[in-house]
Amino acid sequence: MRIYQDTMKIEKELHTHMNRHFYMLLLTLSLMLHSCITPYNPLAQIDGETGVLVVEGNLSGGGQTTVVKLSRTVPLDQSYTYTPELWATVYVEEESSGQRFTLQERDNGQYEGVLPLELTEQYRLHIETSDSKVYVSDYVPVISSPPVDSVFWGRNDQKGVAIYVNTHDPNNSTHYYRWEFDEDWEFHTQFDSELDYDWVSRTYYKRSEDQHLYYCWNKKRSKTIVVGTSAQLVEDVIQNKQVHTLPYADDRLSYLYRIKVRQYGLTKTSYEYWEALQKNTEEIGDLFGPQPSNLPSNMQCVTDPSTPVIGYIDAGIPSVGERYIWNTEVAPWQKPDSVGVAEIIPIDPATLLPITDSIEARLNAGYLLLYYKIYRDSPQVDLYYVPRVCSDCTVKGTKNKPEDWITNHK
Amino acid sequence: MKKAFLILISLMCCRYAVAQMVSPAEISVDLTQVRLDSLVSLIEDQTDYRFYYDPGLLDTVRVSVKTTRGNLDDVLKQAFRETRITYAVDGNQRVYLANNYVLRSFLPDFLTQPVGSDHLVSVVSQDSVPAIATNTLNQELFLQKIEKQVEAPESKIYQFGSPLGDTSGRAELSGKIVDAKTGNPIVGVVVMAEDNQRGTATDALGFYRLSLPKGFHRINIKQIGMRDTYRQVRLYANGRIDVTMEEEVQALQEVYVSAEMQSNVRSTVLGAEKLKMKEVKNVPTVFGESDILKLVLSLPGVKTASEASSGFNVRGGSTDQNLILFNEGTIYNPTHLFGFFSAFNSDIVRDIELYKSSIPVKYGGRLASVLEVNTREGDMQKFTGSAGIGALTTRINLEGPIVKDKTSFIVAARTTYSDWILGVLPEKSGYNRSSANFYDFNAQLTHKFSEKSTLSVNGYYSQDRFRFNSDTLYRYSNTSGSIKWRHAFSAKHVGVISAGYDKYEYSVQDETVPANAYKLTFTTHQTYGKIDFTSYLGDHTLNYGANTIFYAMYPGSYKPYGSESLVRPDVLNRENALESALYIGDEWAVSPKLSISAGIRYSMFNAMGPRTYYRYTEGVPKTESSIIDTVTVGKGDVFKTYHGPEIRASIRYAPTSTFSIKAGYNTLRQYIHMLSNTTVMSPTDTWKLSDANIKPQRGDQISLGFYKNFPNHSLELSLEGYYKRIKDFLDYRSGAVLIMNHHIETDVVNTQGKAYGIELMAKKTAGKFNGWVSYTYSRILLRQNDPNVSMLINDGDWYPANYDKPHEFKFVGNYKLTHRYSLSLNCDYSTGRPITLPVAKYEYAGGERVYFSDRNAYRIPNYFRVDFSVNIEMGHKQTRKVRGALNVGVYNLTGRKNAYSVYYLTEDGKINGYKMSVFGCPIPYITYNLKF
Repeated sequence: MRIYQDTMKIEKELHTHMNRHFYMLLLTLSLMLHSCITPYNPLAQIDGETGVLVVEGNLSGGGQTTVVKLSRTVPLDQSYTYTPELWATVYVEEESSGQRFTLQERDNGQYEGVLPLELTEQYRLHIETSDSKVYVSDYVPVISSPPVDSVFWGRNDQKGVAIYVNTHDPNNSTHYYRWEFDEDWEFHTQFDSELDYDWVSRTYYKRSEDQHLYYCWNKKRSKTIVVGTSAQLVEDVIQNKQVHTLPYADDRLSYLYRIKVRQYGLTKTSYEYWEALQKNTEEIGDLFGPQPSNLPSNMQCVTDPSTPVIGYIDAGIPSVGERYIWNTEVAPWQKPDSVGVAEIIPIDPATLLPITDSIEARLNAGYLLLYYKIYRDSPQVDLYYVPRVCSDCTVKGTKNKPEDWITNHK
Repeated sequence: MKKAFLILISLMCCRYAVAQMVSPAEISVDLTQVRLDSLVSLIEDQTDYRFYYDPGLLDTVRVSVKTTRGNLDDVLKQAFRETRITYAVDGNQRVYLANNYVLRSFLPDFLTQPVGSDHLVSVVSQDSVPAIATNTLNQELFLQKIEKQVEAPESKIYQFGSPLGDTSGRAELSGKIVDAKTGNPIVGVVVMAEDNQRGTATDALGFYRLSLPKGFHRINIKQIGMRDTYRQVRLYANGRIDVTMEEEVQALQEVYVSAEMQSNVRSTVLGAEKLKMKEVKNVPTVFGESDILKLVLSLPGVKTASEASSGFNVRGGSTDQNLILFNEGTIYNPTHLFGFFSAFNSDIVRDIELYKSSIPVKYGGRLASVLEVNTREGDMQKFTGSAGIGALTTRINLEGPIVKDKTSFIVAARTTYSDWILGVLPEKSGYNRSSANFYDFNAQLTHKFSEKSTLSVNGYYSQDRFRFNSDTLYRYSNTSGSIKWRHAFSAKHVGVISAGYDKYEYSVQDETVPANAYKLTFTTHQTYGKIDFTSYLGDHTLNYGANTIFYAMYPGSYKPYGSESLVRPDVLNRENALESALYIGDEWAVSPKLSISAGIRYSMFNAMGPRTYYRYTEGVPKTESSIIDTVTVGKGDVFKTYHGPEIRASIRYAPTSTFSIKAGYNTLRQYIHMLSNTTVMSPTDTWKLSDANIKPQRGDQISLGFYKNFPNHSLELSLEGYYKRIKDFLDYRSGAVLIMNHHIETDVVNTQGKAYGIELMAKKTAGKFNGWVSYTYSRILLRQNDPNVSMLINDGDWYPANYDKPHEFKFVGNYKLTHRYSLSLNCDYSTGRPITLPVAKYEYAGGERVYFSDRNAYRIPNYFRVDFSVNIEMGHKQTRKVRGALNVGVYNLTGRKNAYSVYYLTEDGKINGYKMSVFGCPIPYITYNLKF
């Protein structure tokens, strides 16, 4: 009977305070549900499939240099990724004749050569690594890509620049495409440093024309995988295929930018390989995402078939399209942050010697000298110190001008 | 009790004491095989004797007597010589009739009954008087004391036919079992002859039918939540006993009853689990919502890929290989809110039955299991209802008679206010700036034309909406309607005819970019008709019938949304098909120890037009380049037919009444496939019908089981093992496109599966403590062996499926402290599910890439969870208008951060792994349920 009364009491209380309890409960719940993400590194325990040979390359015809890159996989917790595979013997074999074309090893695991590929032939890649394992690819056909019709740009939604490609195959036979691109850009610093300092004689001297650090160049290779297909269309036409984007205010468009697009024709299986590789990289570990899986290579280790190998070898003659974009075309385009003149120190115009001797300290602190005449007819000159980043373009680029560049800047 | 027993004893003495004082009035009778009341009225007409007896007790007795001018003693002696009726006459010419057999049979029984059995106790001390449908007792005829004992139908001997006739062979006992309170038939009541292991269970309309050797039997009648009862019968001809069962209001063993135990050993069925709602209600669940699907997951052999995921896996089957029947209708997505809740409102669910192995011959179309969910019928007597308030949902149900004892209704609705929970989900889950809601609605109308004929009409609708970060709206809904007529054409032939319509649809609406805004929809309709007959022919019970489903599926429509959208509309071909089956099965009780169940189901699938499909070059991979022809099929034309027999067989041998061995074999075919490339069932999974390019899935299973019961301890043990093969299961190529794919056959890979396992279970079915503990060892391995596909997963070797969790330990227990308080504990341990991990990285095409292990070569951490709850029943008095129950508990008591998903991020050039736990902390909950 007592229990009964007690329950009655609880029940009554609950009726009155139901709401309050309820909100308290919600509060508790929300406090407790936090911090449910914890580091989980089974990866560290996995000794892993490190040291798997990675073969990347397109056997290129048409007089272009074929580059095959050999590397090895590395553990996930390494901060570096690229481990070149050195001292391998690499050659390309023609199916009908068995003729071999050796690729010479350059630095960093790159094996290069110019191959006389025939469109009617099939070729395979043959690799013997320094651990005496032999890897051979399937025979692959040589696919000649139709020419790139145009490379052009447009504004994207975020005021940035998107770069597009148009192409078509009048023979209606390519259908599967992949694009790679090289970007080069010329830029200049805010100030043109005219003076340099000779640490031996401890004097200033005027830079010669090619010693200027005003114009520089930089380049980048594409890192994303861009594939496309016209298989669903009645004609083999690729229109407005976006291959790249540059976000608004990007440095690359601060003066003159060039993109060189290489277009490869693919077989369908090769296309699927690239598409899957792209998906695998983008969507990993998500419960609702598709299950990741290793992509089957078209290479095998013939000395030990259980040895895995990564990569897919294609052969073909790529076509190239390029486009220059001047900063003025995309204006308004916010320039890299400008920096004001840091410090002005008078110098003796005759000797170009400093009036104070704190110069070396400033140079060591990362400043460059700017020689600047204020009055056209006056011998009076001033010497400015500006941060290196505003006056030395080699901070962000190099003086290596691309061979086929359209400006004559030095 | 002691007092009552003494009265019985004294009555016996009394009879012998007064038997000598019979008055010599003359009686002339000539009766053959008449009812006792005919004899009584004849004697009462001729003499001043007045008879006092319980007509209910003796109404089945037939007497024969022929006397001229005999005295009462002669007449009665002659009349009762074939019976056990005793009589006593007092000085006031009152004749008392009693059934001596009862008294004699009690005594030795009573002395030999094991301690703790309350069967006998209930006979003698029954305080509350059950209403007996067939009892027309005139209570005034009886002395009050006597009335109390003999009124109990349990003490009465029912007699059918005469022992003077042929006592060899068998006779059939049948009847209907109803609930005393509501008048509704009770389904699944176990009716069992105590002495010879013969048993059956009541069907959907509460009827039972039992073939027994002629002679005396004690028939035990047991049902969960109802007071156990029994009837005694002298069966010499077919007879009928209707039974009214009372709710076990204050019984200690409220949760589980021995009914399941009996069927465990005795039925020929392997791998079947039946759960009643009472079992479900005390099992702790997240947010306190009692949930039948969650309980299904606690059964051995049932797994889920992840906590809070829709769908479940039975004995290595994939999530689409379960046929989920809700009042005959098929439910395609059985969950709400990404799998947090099941789509069934527990308030109106009567029971669920899961068939893992011996799938009844009347079911087909899925490979792994059949989950049958049946709702209650509305109360035929009075209006009642219930409501529940939980942290996330609120629900209500109402029921009552429309015409008392003839027509009743039940309606239930449930909705959620779950938006807040999304706000507290981890940021990385991507759900936390989202909104979600769902509701479902059930209605059922039942009309009894007669005891033999019942019609019910069902309706169900559920809908889910969720918005991911305010731009993308997902919606899905199940609709189901059915009509079902059950008719007993004769005592031996019962038929159920049903027809219905089901629909499942989902849509995704994305407005993130106006130019790309789209609406993607998927809809499938099915219209079905089923005829099912059961014939009881002595030792054979035949089940036969036919069913057919017409599918009309719209596999995808992708259309622009909004006026600015530039999306090119795309609509996939509509798919039509007819799936039909004819079946017959026989359950043959060869002997009390041996029974065999064998059946054949012949199923046929016709893919029908209008349709356009591709033909591919034979013998090479199906790709777009191997398309050789486009075929257009006219409306209604059948362009592809698959058909084949399915075998369902099992055998049971029970050397003793508490031990049996069973073996079974069955084959199944599945013509509908879910297209899903993700680890868990996701709302955008679409379904696909078999057609010219997609073969049906086929599977077979062989199983063996050992069952041992310890009735004295209400304990049952079982050990089941199985081996299963699956053919033409659909897996996908790397990078397969599953949505809006006009030629899905180019992206699927026919996969082979093998599953095997052992399930050990100990179940305590009654007592203060009840529950079960189970251990399962099972594997499910898949292999892509399609010769027409290049790039096979794991080079065509066996790999574990996503839901392969070899070791599993489950515990579900409830301890009743008092009538009012009970404690429940839930434990769940399993091996972590397999996962494909990145194992190395490399540079390729200018970027950093990840090298994966073989498919599912690693596993996420093992899963372990303990839940605890206290259940408090309030207002236990039956007179209370509103009775409440409070459920307070903690989900994931230990706060273990079980991995829900594991993912990787590149940080500072390193790839780091993280695991996300959805319920990685103890989650308290409180739910209040009330019944009115």
